[in-house]
Amino acid sequence: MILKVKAMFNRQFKALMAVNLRLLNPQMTSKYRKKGLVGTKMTKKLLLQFVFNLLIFGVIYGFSMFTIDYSKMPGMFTSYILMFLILGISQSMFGIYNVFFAGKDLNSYAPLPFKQSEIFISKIVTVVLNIVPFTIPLVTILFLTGMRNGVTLPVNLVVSLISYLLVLTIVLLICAIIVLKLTQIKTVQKHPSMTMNALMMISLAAAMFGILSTNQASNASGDFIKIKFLLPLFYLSRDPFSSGGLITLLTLFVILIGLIFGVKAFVLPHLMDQVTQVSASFQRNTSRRKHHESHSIVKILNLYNRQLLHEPNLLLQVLVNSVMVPLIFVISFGFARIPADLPLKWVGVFFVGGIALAFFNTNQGTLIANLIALDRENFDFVKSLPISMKKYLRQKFLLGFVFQNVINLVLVVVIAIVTKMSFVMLISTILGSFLGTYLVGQYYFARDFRLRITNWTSITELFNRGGGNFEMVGIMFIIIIVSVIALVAYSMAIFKASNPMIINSLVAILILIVSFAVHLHYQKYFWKKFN
Amino acid sequence: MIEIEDLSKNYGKKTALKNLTLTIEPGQIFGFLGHNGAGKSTTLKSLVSIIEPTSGKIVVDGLELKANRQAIKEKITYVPDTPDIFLQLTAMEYWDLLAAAYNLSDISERRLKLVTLFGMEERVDETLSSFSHGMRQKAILIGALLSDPDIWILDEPMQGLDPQAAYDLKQMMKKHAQKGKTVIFSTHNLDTAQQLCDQLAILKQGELIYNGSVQNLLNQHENESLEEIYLGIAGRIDDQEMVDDIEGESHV
Repeated sequence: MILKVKAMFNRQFKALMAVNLRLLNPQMTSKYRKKGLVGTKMTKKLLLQFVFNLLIFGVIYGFSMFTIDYSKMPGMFTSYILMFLILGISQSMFGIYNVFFAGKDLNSYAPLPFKQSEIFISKIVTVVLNIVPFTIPLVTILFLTGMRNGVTLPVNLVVSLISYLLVLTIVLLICAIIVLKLTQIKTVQKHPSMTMNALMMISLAAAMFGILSTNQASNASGDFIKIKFLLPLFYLSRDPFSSGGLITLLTLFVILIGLIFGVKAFVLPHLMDQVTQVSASFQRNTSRRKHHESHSIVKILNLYNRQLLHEPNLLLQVLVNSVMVPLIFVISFGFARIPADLPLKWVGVFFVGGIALAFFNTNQGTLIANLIALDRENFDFVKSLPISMKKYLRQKFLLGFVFQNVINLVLVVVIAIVTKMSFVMLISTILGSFLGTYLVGQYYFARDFRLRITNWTSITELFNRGGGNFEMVGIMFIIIIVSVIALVAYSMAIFKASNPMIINSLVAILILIVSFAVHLHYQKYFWKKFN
Repeated sequence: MIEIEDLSKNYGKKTALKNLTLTIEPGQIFGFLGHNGAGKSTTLKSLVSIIEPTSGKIVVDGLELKANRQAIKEKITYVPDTPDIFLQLTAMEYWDLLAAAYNLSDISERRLKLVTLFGMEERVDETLSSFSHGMRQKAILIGALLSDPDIWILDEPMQGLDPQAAYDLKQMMKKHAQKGKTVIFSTHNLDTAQQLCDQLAILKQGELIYNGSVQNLLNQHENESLEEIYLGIAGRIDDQEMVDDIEGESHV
């Protein structure tokens, strides 16, 4: 009997996981489908692809962090761990909220004879798969710390992975309890998106403050200031068999077991009721608007495009992807202090810096990369109307472009204040960021059209189009490396050249040619389609 | 007049529509019948420029669709197969959008008549997302009927409508055709097809298997109902054994 129940659980869990994996990788799934893969073969292939991506990322991070000896710098260790933990927490909160409440598929499980625990675990695993690309540097840091301190390879590998999984699961369960407990409160049930958005805004602001202050603070030895509550993790990875290391491991296990019991006792019994109630609130949460007669198609479409942004959770997720994720990666891998009061010859370097910043901040999770998909079925219907699709899309592009520029502008101003950048350099950076946003915006807008899906069930699924979070983080990583190389080379050339004007002019001509080529490319291969 | 010549649509290796050729005259109510996936929606979506056919051509009033999309779109109003569009807008905002798209100057009188006819007076300032399926369908229909172009293309328009609204819509379709204009619609409901259609096209797996009047079809198969005739040519009628086979078993 027990075996029969276990087999059933396994079968149902596998079925749920298979659905979740497909939802998480819509493009990959359709690619494999075209190759004739179905059923278990498809699920295995999707999982294998995930593991492969993970290995590649681990290796890349390993190389990029190889030079830092974390074992001698507990401050840097704890700061970097905190940064990636913050990223993990924010992504978990969004993931849990998206998957459990803002998503549209969970309600369909309600009438089916699945156990609440199966649904919970399969959905949590989906969130895990989603946040792993962001948090995998944690494994690298833990592993490198042990390696530098002479911990043997097999022990180091096992300890790093166990520590990572323990920390990740603890973070996830805490986030799950917070989000799921919050949605039991009546006020939250009445206004789910408003309350969650407020909560996320606060946690986002706190996280940003934490990241910036951590990065600013460093002591005389060049190490960052230690973050005390994360030090036990440092002892564990530096010397797993020391008393400090073993106590940390034990404590992590105890916390995890406590949390599992907490979830079992307080979350699971009410899970489906909560999901149904909160989803119903979303359904009810519709507005009446006083009607103002309008005959201008531009005005009506503007109103419509702005209404699209009211998708619960969208704006905050966009902000996280546009600000927090790039910032953490820039700080971790390529951040350098910008000297203030530089002479005018550096103006070009700042312009290129602005372009680079726009490239960091604009990714598949930003607004300009999703505005067409947000249309869902509307896009096809608009095709049947006697209006110009080119104008319709231009208006969308403009909204995304302005939105992204506002985010970039705020970020550039914050950086300028922190680094005491001169006004001229600030203007140069802003102009560079405008150009960069235009160029990279063209790419993401066309990509959005190319990968358009109408039946997405959650923001997570929408943002995962293409290569998912692996693609997002991978592209960001490549941009950081290329930008750092370009900026360093450009700075060196300006620094050494007897006539920097020539270098600046050459770079300006190069930027003009490349920008024009990109512009022409998208006019020819994207915008022309809608003539 | 609408002329469809050799129209085909492939999705990769799958053929959704194969060499469809037919003519739809003005003053007709033209119905498309067929099982799910037969190619009805593909044909209608090709007519309204949502789908780009793989090959073939569509000519509307002497103008080829590919070269005259804008002019032809102005002659057509369309109701999609699902009413889940522009859910973020209120009904009024949605109708404003359509009025602007079709460049209609004064719609308030016609809108009021339609809103009253479909019983939506109290809900015009609510977002479409808050409506039931049937209410959404009514809002979409009102939007389509606001402009009164020559050609109505309605993809399963009766779906979700209450009997009164369905009756009113049928009357409007008849009146529109009587004015010498064209109504093209798809349906799964054979009674509706029998009541309304002057001409009928039956599609099966992307191919046209019948094109002619309903009366002609009935005359060809004496003593058979339209359901029997339709299932005889587009589906299965002798499936009692299969039904028994399924219903006689238990999996639980």
